[in-house]
Amino acid sequence: MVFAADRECGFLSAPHQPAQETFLGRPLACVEILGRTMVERTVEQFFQADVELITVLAPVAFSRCLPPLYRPNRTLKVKLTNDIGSAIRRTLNEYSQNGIEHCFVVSGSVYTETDLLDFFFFLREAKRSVSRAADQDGPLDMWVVDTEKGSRCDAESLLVGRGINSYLIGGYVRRLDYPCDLRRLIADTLSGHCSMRPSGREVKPGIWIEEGAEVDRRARIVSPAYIGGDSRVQEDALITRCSSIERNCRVDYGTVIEDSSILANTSVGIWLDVRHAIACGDKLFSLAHDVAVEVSDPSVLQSTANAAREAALRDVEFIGPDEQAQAEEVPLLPVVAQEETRAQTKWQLGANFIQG
Amino acid sequence: MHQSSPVTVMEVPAILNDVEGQSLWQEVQPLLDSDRPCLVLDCSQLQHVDSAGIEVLLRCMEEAMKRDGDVKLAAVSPACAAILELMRVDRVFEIFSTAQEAVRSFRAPGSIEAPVALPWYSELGGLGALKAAS
Repeated sequence: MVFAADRECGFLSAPHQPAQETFLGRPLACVEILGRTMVERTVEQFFQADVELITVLAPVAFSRCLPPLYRPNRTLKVKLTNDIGSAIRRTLNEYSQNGIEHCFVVSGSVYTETDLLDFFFFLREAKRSVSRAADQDGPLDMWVVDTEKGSRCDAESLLVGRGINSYLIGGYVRRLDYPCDLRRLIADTLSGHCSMRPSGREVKPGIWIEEGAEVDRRARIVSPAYIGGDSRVQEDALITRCSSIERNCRVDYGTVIEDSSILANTSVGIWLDVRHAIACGDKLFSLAHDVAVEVSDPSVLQSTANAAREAALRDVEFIGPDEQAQAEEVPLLPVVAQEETRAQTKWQLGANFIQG
Repeated sequence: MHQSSPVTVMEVPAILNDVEGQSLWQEVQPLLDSDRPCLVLDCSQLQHVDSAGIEVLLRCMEEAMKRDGDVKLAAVSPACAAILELMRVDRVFEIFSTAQEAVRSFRAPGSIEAPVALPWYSELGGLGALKAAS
């Protein structure tokens, strides 16, 4: 199975969105939601389906965004590249030479719940070199490929060329193109609309709390909700309407988190209203207003991330000499695209905090 | 019958920080000294705001409320709206998409514009209804 953790590859159906990467600093597949990233969840999903070998392909620039991936008695490779298309072809060729006849190719821009074996038999019965998954809204970035035939042509013509038969997925599908898609997936998960489950323990019906989380006695958590590990919810705070607080976050006194997600390593100040939004460090993406703002007042929003927190990768392989050279330029912190986007505005909130 | 106050529309500068906020406050203050002040702050040019700027907006509202008036915001950009929402200021102000709409809202029935003074029994349906009831 080949898992492309990003949509850097031009032929993948979703358009490249610099705005979301500027906002989150990483592909959506590498953002922790309900305790784990979509990369981890997808890898686990395929391991559970008895897939023998998994190769995760990620752009060099996002190498430090990847979560630590564990290998339960199976082989898992992580490869960094700046040319996902070529990397897919090389990987198919490698699989073919190792006697693997078929493989799944999945992009990080989609989460699906489907019978993988049924998808595989669909290709076998159709006697084609490739089958693409689709739902009622169109094709998805998920394929089953005959590795021998697939390694003979370039990835673009193989995966999005003409005459590819579609496998209609009947189960849950969520495209992860925009930050609002993360919110929908979180809400669906917490509401039980899909089979994905939050990490941690369900301490009350619909309330999941990870180990190390501290919730003040006077804080109110309205089901369904999720509180990540090492997070603190202060007194009189209210977490409601399918909201999630990821790991190492702080929600201060009297603040309301409503229909929102506070991503990992974010501190939200006192007496604020975070509604229909995603907060990530010092950035706020308002889903209601479809705009991202950067808040420079640390008493309002603040990142609690430690520069050294990024997990070390095991068995990372750089593909090609060019990529090796570029890999040396990878900075210590996650790369954030520097280009300005129209939706992003910097707001200078000073030290004088106003208690509404 | 009370005389209705004129509605004043004032443009908020592109940057609303401590310095710009003070100059805005000095311009606005005389307007708020009148009886039942009606002020619309046109935020169409507003691009940057800090907490000192938000404090000035709240001070305008406070002064207007003291004199039974109101301050309304107009043409607030999505980014500004997100910040106002985060700071819970959006609950304090009525926000309109244009300054014209905000001005019209002052003239609409039920606004702070004083109603025509009617006799107390008018709410009971006039004299006829009162007689019928008795």
